[in-house]
Amino acid sequence: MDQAPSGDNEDVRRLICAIRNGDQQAYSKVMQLYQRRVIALALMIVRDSGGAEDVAQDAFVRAYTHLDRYDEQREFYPWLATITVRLARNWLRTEARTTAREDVFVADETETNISLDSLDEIIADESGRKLWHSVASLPSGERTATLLYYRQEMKVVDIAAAMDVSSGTIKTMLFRARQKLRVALEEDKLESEN
Amino acid sequence: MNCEQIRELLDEFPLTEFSAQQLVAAEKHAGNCPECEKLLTTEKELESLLKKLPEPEASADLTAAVMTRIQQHDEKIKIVAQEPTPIQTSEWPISMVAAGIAITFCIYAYELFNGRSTTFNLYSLWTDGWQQWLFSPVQLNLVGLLIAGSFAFYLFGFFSMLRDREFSR
Ligand SMILES: [Zn+2]
Repeated sequence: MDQAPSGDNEDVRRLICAIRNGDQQAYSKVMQLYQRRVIALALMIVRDSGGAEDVAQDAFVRAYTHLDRYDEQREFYPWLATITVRLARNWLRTEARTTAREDVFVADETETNISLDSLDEIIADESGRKLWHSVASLPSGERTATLLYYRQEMKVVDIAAAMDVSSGTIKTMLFRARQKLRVALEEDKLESEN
Repeated sequence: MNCEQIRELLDEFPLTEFSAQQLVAAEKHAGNCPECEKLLTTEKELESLLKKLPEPEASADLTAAVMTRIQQHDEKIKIVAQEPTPIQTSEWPISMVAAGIAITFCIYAYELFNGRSTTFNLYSLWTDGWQQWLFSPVQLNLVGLLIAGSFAFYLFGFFSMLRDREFSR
């Protein structure tokens, strides 16, 4: 996992330079590069289509209005992902308050009884739905770390920074997630054999 | 590498973090050990599946909504930037000038009232010359000093005002 997750780093740098020089329209191109990743991340954390849309929108707006804080020497996506994770976590907290559901990254064993079926239509890829369900059923910290690490190929240190926990915690989360997913995968195989 | 070590490694790291040597050693062991072979295969399968975890479609509205919001944001900033910034002058230099003028005026009024207009007798300045005027005993009295003091007072205030104006540009 040494190489950069995407080859568009040069493009992004150029676009951000243009935005800083007042070319507002360049931001729509930045969005085109990252919107699927941001929505996927938001949806994985909040597990609500409307909520994911709101979080993604807020994340892009905030990234734009705080662009002066982005350090060009670093990759853009981890910075954007950090904003998204924080907003999604806030969304979860607000939601937990209104529905009296416990939900934070560290201890959240109580929130597994959410129905994910309503999200099926958003995941167009039918063959991947089952796996998405398995990952989305994990506690919020584990599912966030899993998505960021395996799907979005972020480094453990960057994930730790985005989620505001230590690298060790991320490794533990990934380990636990793998254990559970391995079981799910095995069960799935047995099911399809019978 | 033995079964125990492979299990420990898999607990610690995803396969993607295995070093080349670790991977080769693990594969070598798995060639003779069906248990570990299964373990590695499952792990590989899981990790390759996770790499392809489906992503939702982005709605077309997202870009439009964000672009509208950032336009509003930028316009707000522009309006703030266009508002003329008032010249930042601190209050005290102006007060000093006013105080200086007031003191001078009071002294002058007091002099006139007491029939001693000599202190500020500018006429003698013209007739006797400035050395005469400055060093005449009348000028060196206490009231003269007060006037000189207040003059310095408001000169200082005036220059402070100029300096402030310079900074605010
Ligand atoms: Zn073995």
